Amino acid sequence: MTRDTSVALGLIVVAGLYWLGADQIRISKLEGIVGAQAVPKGLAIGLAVLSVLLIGQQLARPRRAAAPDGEIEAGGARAHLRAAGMLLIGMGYLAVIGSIGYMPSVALLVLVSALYLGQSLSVRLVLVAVGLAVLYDLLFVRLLGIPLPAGIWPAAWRALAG
Amino acid sequence: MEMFAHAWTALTTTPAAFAAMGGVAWGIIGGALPGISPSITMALLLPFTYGMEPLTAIVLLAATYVGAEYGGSIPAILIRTPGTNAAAATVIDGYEMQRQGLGGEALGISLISGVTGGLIGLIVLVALTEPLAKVALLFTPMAYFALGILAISVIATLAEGMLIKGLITGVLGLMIAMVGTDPQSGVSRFTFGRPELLGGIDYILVMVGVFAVSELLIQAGLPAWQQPQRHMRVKLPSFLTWRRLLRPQLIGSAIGIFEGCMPGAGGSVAAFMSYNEAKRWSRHPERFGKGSEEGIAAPEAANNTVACTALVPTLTFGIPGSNSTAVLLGGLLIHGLQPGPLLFAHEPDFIYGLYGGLAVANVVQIPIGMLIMTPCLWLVSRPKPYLLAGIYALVFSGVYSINQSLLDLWIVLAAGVFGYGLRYFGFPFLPLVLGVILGHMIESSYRRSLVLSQGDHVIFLQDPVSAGLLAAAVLLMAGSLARNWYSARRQQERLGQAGSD
Repeated sequence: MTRDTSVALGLIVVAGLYWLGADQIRISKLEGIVGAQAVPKGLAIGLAVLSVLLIGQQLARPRRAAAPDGEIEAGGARAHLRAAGMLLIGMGYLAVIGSIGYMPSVALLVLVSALYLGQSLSVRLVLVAVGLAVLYDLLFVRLLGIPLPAGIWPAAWRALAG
Repeated sequence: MEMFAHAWTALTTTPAAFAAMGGVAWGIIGGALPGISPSITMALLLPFTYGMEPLTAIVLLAATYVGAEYGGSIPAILIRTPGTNAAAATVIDGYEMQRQGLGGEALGISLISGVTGGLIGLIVLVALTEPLAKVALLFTPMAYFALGILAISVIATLAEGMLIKGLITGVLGLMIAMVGTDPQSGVSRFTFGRPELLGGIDYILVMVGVFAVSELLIQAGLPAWQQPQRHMRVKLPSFLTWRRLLRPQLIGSAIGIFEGCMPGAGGSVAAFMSYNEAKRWSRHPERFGKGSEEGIAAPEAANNTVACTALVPTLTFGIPGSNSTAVLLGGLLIHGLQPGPLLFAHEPDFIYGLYGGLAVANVVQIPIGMLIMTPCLWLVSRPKPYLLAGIYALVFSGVYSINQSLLDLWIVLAAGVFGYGLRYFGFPFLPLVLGVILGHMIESSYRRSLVLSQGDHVIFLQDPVSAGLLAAAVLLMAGSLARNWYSARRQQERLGQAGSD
């Protein structure tokens, strides 16, 4: 089975799930000739049909002819692992930003990402991480007035202050 | 005259002129960073434009696009790594000049040719956009539905041999656009009980995820960039040199006009075509590939012309022909500006202000391009881990600032993984973005049409504009399928011959 055929089979499953989701959409008395379910169901059918066509295209392709490669072919499995690691770092950032607050979490994100991408741990790296966190805090929180998460620190400060 | 008055008023009563300068500076820096395309540079700015006036926001984005096209030539000339796809043709002679110790001259030619091309492109944009937009006055709901289908079909057919994959990603984009409250009946769809999703998935999140986050994930697995020389100054060509290079610049601009107006053709095609044509018409074709000044002037003029003329289909019909113009279209829609004839009728100050902003952006490219070279080189010579980590934090901060929602950040990450998957499996992702952007228009036009016809689909064929657009979509797809079939057959024949040998 080629890579495209596996993807097409997966897409048929997605189309089926999307159809089931569309089927759950409530029918309103306000809807006109075409209800809220119609277009989503049409799209599910469209996706399934196109996926079948993709499988057909793969079957019709000469056996020894390779399908056009994706953009990410040079790095192989190692590139995927590195990408997954970068993704995990981002997820970690999202997991901690609410509790430790914006500035510390940005500093951590920069520090951990740079280390992960091959930068060795040094005072300079720590300074860059802290510097970027301060810069972004100045830009987003102070200059643009965006209420980025403050974390547990205001509550802890209030508790300490009595 | 009235146009100049509108443009002048818009530029002097809003911060649009400053936005043009800021956009050019940001664009040059973004374009100069290998791996950061103009669309990513623009997508990173999108969250910041929310609180701006529409004109300032769009001029900022358009000027970023203009600046990024020049910025891409900096690493192309200095380190043989094009900062943007369109700058790939500049590598050929630009890097040769740099090796001969003429890097500053090469950067100067690139800058001046870019400005020449950009100004020619702007004249064409002004001349073509409004008359073309008037055609859209004939559009009924049926025609708008057909236009949406045509737009996705055009973009899907562009990737060679990937029509079905392009259509699949277009459908996936439309599926994402269905999330949220149905505008007609008010029922919620695919929100999984999350009130944050009732307003739908913001296409900004999809764009930032698919363009920027997926690129970061890819870059994580690639080796470090080559470091440029730390000290380099732009040396502008003399008037005589500029005049000598006028012919390749005009060739590049002419090709850029044509390619920019065609959705999807893009700056890289224009740059390579103009390189070839400039060589063909040159008095010294033998110098091409060995550090020819003409070999830099033609592609740089072409890709900067495209940066302006690519706005023609975007502003007239709402069809973005490239990733960058898709981001720009997103910016327009965020600010409630629907491309088409009504935009010209109702928002003349905006349109002429945009033209004025683009003129400012092109002109200030020269001083900004020269001034920014030192900080730009400093930034490009930072270690890749610092840059990627800083951009990662910028993406999260910018996206959070839109709705102050952590869910948005998760959506961006998910869109990044999705974009990574699309790129890995060789699916073009522009149809996905277009599906998300046009989803609402396609669905609402479809449903309004069927209300008019009491549910009869024949109405799409009875309306002449709709029928014409749908026929064009079918013809395009049939043509693409025929090309695929023909190339597959030839491949089979070649394999058969190789087997018998």
